[in-house]
Amino acid sequence: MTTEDELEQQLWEYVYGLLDAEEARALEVRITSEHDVARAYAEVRQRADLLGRAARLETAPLKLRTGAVASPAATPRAERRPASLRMATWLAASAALVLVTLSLYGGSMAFRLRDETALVQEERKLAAEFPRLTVAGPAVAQRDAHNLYCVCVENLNGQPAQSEVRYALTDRTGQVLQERTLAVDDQGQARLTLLGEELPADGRLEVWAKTGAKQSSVALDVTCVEPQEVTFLQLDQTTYVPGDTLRFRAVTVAPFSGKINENAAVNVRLLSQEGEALSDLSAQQDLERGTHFGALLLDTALPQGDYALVAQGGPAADPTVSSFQVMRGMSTDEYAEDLVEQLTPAAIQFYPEGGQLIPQVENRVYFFAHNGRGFPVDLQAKIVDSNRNSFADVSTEFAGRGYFMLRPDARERYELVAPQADAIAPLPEASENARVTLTAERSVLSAGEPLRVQVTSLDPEAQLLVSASAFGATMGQELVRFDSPQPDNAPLQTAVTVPLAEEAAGVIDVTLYDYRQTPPKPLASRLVCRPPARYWKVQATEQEVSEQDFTACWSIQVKDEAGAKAPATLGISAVAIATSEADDPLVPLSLLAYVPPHELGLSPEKLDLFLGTTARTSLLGFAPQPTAKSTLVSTTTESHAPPALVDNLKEVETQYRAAIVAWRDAQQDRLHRLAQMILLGSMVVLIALALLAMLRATGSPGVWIPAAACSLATLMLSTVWLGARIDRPIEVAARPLKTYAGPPVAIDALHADDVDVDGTSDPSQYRMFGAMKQPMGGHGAIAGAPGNLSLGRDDFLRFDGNAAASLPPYLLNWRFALEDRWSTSLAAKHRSSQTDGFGAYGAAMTPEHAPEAYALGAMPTPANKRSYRNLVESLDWTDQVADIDSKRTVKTLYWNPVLKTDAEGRAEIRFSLPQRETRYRLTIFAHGNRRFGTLMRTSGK
Amino acid sequence: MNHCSRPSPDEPAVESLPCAQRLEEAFARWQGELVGTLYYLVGNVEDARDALQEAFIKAWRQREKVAEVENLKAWLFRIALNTGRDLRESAWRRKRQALPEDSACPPRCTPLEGLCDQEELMLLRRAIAELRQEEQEVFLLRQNGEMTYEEIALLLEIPVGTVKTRMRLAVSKLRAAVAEV
Repeated sequence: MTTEDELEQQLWEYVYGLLDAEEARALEVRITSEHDVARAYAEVRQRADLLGRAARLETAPLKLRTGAVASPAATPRAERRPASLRMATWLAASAALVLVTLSLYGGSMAFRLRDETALVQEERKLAAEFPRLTVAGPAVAQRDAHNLYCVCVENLNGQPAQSEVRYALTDRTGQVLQERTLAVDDQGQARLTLLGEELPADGRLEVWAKTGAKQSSVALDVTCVEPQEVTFLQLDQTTYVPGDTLRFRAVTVAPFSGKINENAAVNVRLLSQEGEALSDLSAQQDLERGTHFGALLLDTALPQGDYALVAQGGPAADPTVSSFQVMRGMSTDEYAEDLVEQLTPAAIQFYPEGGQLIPQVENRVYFFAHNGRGFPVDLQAKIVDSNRNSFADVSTEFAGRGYFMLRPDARERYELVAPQADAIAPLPEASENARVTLTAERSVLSAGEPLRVQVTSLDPEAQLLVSASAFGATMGQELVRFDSPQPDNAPLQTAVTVPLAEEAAGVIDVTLYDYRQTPPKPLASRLVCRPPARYWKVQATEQEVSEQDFTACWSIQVKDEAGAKAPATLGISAVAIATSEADDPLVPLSLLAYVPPHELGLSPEKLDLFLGTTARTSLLGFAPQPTAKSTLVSTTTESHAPPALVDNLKEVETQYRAAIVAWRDAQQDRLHRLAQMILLGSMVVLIALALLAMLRATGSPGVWIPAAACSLATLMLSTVWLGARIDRPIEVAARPLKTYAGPPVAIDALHADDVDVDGTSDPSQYRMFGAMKQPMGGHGAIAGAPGNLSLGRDDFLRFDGNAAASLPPYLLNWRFALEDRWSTSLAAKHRSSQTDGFGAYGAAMTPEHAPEAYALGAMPTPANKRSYRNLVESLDWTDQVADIDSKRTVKTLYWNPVLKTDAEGRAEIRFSLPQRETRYRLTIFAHGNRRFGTLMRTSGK
Repeated sequence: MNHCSRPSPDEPAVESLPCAQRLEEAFARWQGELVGTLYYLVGNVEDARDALQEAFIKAWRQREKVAEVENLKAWLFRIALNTGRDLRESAWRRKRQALPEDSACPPRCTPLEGLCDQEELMLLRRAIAELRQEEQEVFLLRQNGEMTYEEIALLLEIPVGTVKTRMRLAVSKLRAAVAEV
């Protein structure tokens, strides 16, 4: 560096104050003393000024702004404006945010309601499209009969569906035997009749229903069996004494076709009352024209009692039991006991139609009044409640039998009081668990007439089916459908017409089943009668005979139902009936399968009483104390399997759920697209705001920050809302869906969220509509807070699954009397009655001697037995006992097991009478050409 | 209204003014130096003007402190320097191109004078712009802000010796540039 450079550098540093004080003073001295230094300094100063100009920047005057505040001095209030503006901006942004939130909430609620409504509408629409098939038919088809099947098509709303229905019958190999289209009526029902001869032994019936584009099917296994023959057994008498000859004849017949099995080997056995085999009669029987007949000499040591003759026409045939009594001369004690049994106050058995007494419903109650021996007793009585208020006057109409109508309260106890007959009998309790009644419009039908019954139910969810069976085979069945629920737990009522197979004749067991349970549970049962289409009319005319001859002569004529004379085979007995006046007039119900009631001298009213008072012990699990006589008629009604019922509800529900899920998927796809659009739009708005903020085009940050916050909040809320809607679970109800079509009704409803609606749970978990008192799941119109809601006609109800609460075992409380009631009503009270000329006697029934349960005066206790003995011993019984024995010495006056008529159906019999005054009963049975006939005539003096 | 009780010796005309008004007067007076300083910090005139506006807002928000400031010019330059630094270091600023040839000609020049001055000033401004950043800051604070080296050291939080060293280097480079003019 040269000296000039050093000087210049020193001057630059001096100008910019970089020299320390001493150096600066030395340099100032040189500047003032040395010309060259002074000139150099001036040059450096000039350049430094130039540099200073370069360091500055002279631009156009800049007007500086402080936002909204221009000049504090000029506008004193301007200092407060930014704060207020900022507050206003924030308030506006907050208000906008609140508005957006409220709008979204309102929108979500509106969308939710719209979604719910749309879901319900879609469910109803889809439910109306899916055909649900139910097919009912005999569990076992009969080879020699027409087999009726019932097909019901309804949609998932429970309404009849107009569908195209066809069926195919296939055998085990899958070969199609029949394939046809069925006509469906307005009620969505179709009927199918399959002739037994055309059925395979093991086949399959498949039914399809098609409604629009929706189709469903259901299959039912068909098993067809050969005819189950029955043996018709006839005895010459019903009461014997030891040493008598018992004569019998048996005819084996196919019940539905009426064909006689002329080669059937009939095994006949004699059984004691305990069921012990006493004799095998195979050695004493003979066979002629399909009639087995024989005779048995009853041992003189045979004890008195009830016995049974059992005939079985082959190993596969149902055994037929015919009961009879063996009586013998009695000692005074035995006769006193027998008399006591006969003279005890009348016992009364009640037979509510259907089996149970149903509260709050009009019940028809049959009753049978009898004495201790089972002989009918006629009486006049009243039905009273526990406060002795009279409800009805009742009286026996025929053979100790009658009926009355009663609408019982659930917790009330009723009694039948018959002062003249000295009888008080409590009615069975009206069980609150019993909820279904079965009433026959007519218990005695005409030939070929369908069965009509009235069904009353307090259980709207029961899946009911009426079955009619004869000879243990199902002859017809019909599903029970109620039109609409009734308000306030009022019972549902409907009339059901059950078509019957043309072979259905005789005593028909009508049973009402509930198919919610497996096996189906019988709820009610009663007997009706339909006469056969073919039968013989048997006419007998007594011929005049000489006064000296103790002889009876009868001309017999056999005609068919049209009055045409035709040949037949006869079995004839004539029996003295001196001791039979007091008997219960036996009605051989088994004959009703072959002979119309009028041929048996039974009017429809009388037969109705017998049918109504015939115990149905096998189905309902109750057994009124049988009398010796009633066992004879109860054996005519065999137990039978309930009809088979299949439906495709589960399959259709599965299809339905799939359709609902598909619909919801489509809905959610739409929501996804909407969500994407909203998210995209929100992002665009946010980005735009961010850009504007960065460009400072929106002015003060106090504006764009709230705007961005509001937009962000909108984005978040939209996302949450849409996400919640999209992720909402699909709600699919279990079937069946039902549309409530009745009048408004108060119900308890649950919130929809409380209902298990995913369609996958156990149906038993679903809550039941029940008796309109129980909680139920709601949807649509009834979705809401729990509480009573009023529903209108168009409201939509959703029902789930089966009854959560199963009924307790189906028991009828047949305790006619409780001990306390014995004591209050009967204790220390001398009672008397009068029956058939044997006098009036009674006893004081004390609580400690009362029978345990049902039998009002069933058996005398030792205490009152002694009292009766005192009464008996005061009389002279010897003559009466001897007289009875003498009347029993000759009983069977005539017996011919096989008598052929001529070609015109004529025959004549002649037999001797022990004396002219002999009264006897002539019984004629005719068979042949698929017909049966009978005649009972009483003659003599 | 708040009046400044201790006006700066540099502001005899505004000593009795309220703080806000005094602040406005000060910005108006030293606008050239402030814009020039910011010009070299941010690289173009428009940004320099924006930075000045922002610096003014910052100063305005602290206008209550003006009464306590002894050297108002140094206080304003500190604010301007920080504003210019922030703007220069921002991502947005980095994406923008510097415009060193922005028109900086004062409108009062005649065409011929303006042409000569413009050429010399352009050379010198380029020289200032080519200084290292730390040298440039020290030079501008001293040249435009007329701050002492102690004040500069305090502002930059560096020793005074470092400040003087940077100044010497800057002066040495600028001296060479001035010599070529």
